Amino acid sequence: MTTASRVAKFAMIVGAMAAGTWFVGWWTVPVIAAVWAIVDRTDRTLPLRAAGAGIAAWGLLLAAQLPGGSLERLAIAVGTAMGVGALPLVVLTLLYPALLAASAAGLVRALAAR
Amino acid sequence: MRLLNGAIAGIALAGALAVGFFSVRGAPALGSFLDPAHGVWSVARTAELPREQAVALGGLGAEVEVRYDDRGVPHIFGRTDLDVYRALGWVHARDRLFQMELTQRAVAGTLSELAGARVLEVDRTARRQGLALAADAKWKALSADSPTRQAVEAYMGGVNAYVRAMRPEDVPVEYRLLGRTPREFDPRDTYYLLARMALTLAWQDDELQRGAIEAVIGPEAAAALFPVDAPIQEPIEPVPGRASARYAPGAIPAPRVPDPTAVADARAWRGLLDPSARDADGMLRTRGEGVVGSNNWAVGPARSASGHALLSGDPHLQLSLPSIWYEAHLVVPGVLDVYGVTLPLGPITPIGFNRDVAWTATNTGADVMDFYRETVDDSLAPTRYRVDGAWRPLESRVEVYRDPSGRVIATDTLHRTHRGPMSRSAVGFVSTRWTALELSDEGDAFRRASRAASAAEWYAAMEAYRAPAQNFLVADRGGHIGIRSTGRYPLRPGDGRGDRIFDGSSSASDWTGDWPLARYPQAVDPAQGFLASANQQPIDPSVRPGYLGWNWPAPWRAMRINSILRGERGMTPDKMRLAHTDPRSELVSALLPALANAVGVAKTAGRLDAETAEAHAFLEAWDQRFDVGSKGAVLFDAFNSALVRGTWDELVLPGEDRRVATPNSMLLVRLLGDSGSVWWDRRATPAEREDRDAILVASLREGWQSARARWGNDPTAWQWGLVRRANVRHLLFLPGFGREGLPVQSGPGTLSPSEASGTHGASWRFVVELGPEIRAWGTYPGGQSGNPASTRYDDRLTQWQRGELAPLRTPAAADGLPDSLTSARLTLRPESPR
Repeated sequence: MTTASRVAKFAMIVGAMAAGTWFVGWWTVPVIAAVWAIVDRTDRTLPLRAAGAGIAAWGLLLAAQLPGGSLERLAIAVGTAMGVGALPLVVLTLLYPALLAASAAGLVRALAAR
Repeated sequence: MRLLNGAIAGIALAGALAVGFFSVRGAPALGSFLDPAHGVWSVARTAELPREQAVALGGLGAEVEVRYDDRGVPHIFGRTDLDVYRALGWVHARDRLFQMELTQRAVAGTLSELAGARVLEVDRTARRQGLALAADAKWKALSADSPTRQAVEAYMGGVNAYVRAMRPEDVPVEYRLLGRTPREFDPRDTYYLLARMALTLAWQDDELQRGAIEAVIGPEAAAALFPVDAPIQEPIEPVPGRASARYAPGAIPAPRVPDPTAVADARAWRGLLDPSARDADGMLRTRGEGVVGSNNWAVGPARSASGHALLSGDPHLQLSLPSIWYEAHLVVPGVLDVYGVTLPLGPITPIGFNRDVAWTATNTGADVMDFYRETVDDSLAPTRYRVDGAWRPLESRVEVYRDPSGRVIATDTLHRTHRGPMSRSAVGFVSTRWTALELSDEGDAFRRASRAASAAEWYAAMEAYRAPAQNFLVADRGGHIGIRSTGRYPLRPGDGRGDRIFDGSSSASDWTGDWPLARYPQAVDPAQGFLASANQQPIDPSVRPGYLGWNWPAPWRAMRINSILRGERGMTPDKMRLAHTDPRSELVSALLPALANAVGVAKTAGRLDAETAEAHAFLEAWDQRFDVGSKGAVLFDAFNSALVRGTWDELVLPGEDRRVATPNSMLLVRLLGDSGSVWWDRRATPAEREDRDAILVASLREGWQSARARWGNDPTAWQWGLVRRANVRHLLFLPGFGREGLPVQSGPGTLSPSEASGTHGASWRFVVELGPEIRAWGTYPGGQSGNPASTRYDDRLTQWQRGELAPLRTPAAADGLPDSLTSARLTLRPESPR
């Protein structure tokens, strides 16, 4: 597989995760990662790439909020209220889909290999 | 290895899904919370108003145009008042939905259903107060064709239309943090809002505090320290020919030394009081002293530079984000054209102006609440109470409290006598009668007053207004100014006083009627050419006796306003604005000469140490202004605190370090006239007999030492703005949602009074000039939006801190607001028939 096709596939997965979250809900992230793992059983780095796709997908969706208002103001307010701070809240928001996607892909890979 | 990886992945996925779907330890379920499309982040998408928007709104008779100006104020133009009220409901809901929910639940006593068992006691208190039942009764009393009922139903129709059409990104962030969703409102909830106003402004359980004070120092001393009539008279109703405050002479009897029984009594009484009634030092708070201090004043044409009447409003309340107020302008050509601050949850404009009249209010603080000690048939489960020797049945009901899941977390059986709610206390069963719990229709009064064409018409519309009693100040375009302390004032038997707990077993204790309107404190177009109020005793009892209340706030602010107005023949809107944050205090003027005299006496007698001399020199160099950068203000405040502590030590219970109450600063000034009073003597130094001068000098030394310990040894580095700061907290006290530590120009006794917590202050400042074309300026501490991601959440705070005002836009038609001043356009269209 060429680098270009790898990138295209990654972008497609990112797009699917973003669209799934937007139109259906957050839980589509692990579902899409799992489907990806079923389809692409040969890729040993898939959990890692699924995590990257999750981060990218939610990162894009976060960026989509920027034109409406101040994401920074919101991060400071909510992060402080939750006692974690603004930056950790943003990091958590990006790591959470990564965890969902990586663990779903890893589980499917392990099950498929049996 | 693969098996191990699979197991780890499975566990990780299960954990991530679990915290994604389910709430853990009160934290929201992470999946829906962090979801950037529908979760908390999506709130940012709707933070700013869309430039253009059209929405179908059921129930409208015709299209309504809303133009948001450059300050985010909606100007709502419709063909009927009901359409405009419906639109206001929609607009309020968009900007302040969570605030509305919190207001309603606070009165209903259902906060636990939103926030869980941690707020159960708040709910219990609310239900014991009985305001929700009273609001329900007021709503039920409105006939179906009542214009007020129709207005409120239209308003709540707008609110509920917004709630029903909400998208995930419209759900306020507070709901997300609590893991809850918005629900629809009931029209009667507007009367819950009015009840909330009454609770904030007219709940006065001073009689209970009086019980604790009497137990500690004896009834005679208590009566002198917490008197019915203020020792310094600067009344709201002007006294013809009087150009300064009247200092009434009076002695303060010696306190008694409390015995163990008295101490136990004091503690029992104190236990009855709401813990929130304590000040920052943990002492019970004396009403109106330094905490909340509203002001209003108006000048007639003879005293204004333009020859038009000018009116200024400066109501002080608890500071919050979002702000208690929401600015709005409602226009129905030929019917209604009212601009002012509204309260989310109702279609009323308590403070504002139309094209002809402007109005504002300060709290009257009249005694409109009495307590009755009841005799019941069974102290554990009472069913009857005795009046005039006969048993009467108690009205009882079971109150059920639920948590957010609907689970019952507590039940209470509450009782009522014919007087009002009855509760069990450490001193027996006590029932409460309160004007706010009885039938009245403030909503209708405000609705009609907003249409008045003159001051006289405004007052006529407000005749039915009952609670909370307010000093309503009005000015009109005809050049008339007027003030009336409007509300229901009960007539009591005997000496007419209500500053004690009554014997409930006799019907002779009950109210016998109400003050007639003609007896209310009031004045119209006085010869002095101005009117002002600042929560002080409204009528000088030496001119017109009559019991209206007791324990009145000190008139320092009133004296300062009147001093400014008396000296001004060319008042302008900007001078009115400057007065809002005027940095001078009449309290300083009353205390410092006595201190200078005491220091002089000590110096002459060779008893003045170098440290105290240095402190006094520092204080003498102070310009007596409470500016943010002031250094002398820091020392004055520390001196004043030490003086209060040293003087009123007799009010501290043995073994404690807090007073049961702090007398008003007027009493301290009165005591200055008696240099040898036993009150000056410190109980902690039985071998010495201190007098006034000794305490004054010692207080200066202690203040100097405490200021240096707290703010540094170099007094030139002190800053008053570091001592007194405003803390504008979020309604749920969420850190990150409030703005705290804001330096403000305020001080004890100034027009903008302050206290250590910094949680109260000017909630809305405005000035109106009533010329041929009305002109107005205003601001409040916060912003129009309740969304913390919005720039309009707190965009006025800096302006408010600086004491500046913004020009208020008053377009008469939708196209009257220029594009350059229009931030957003909203068209609300009637829903097409299906």
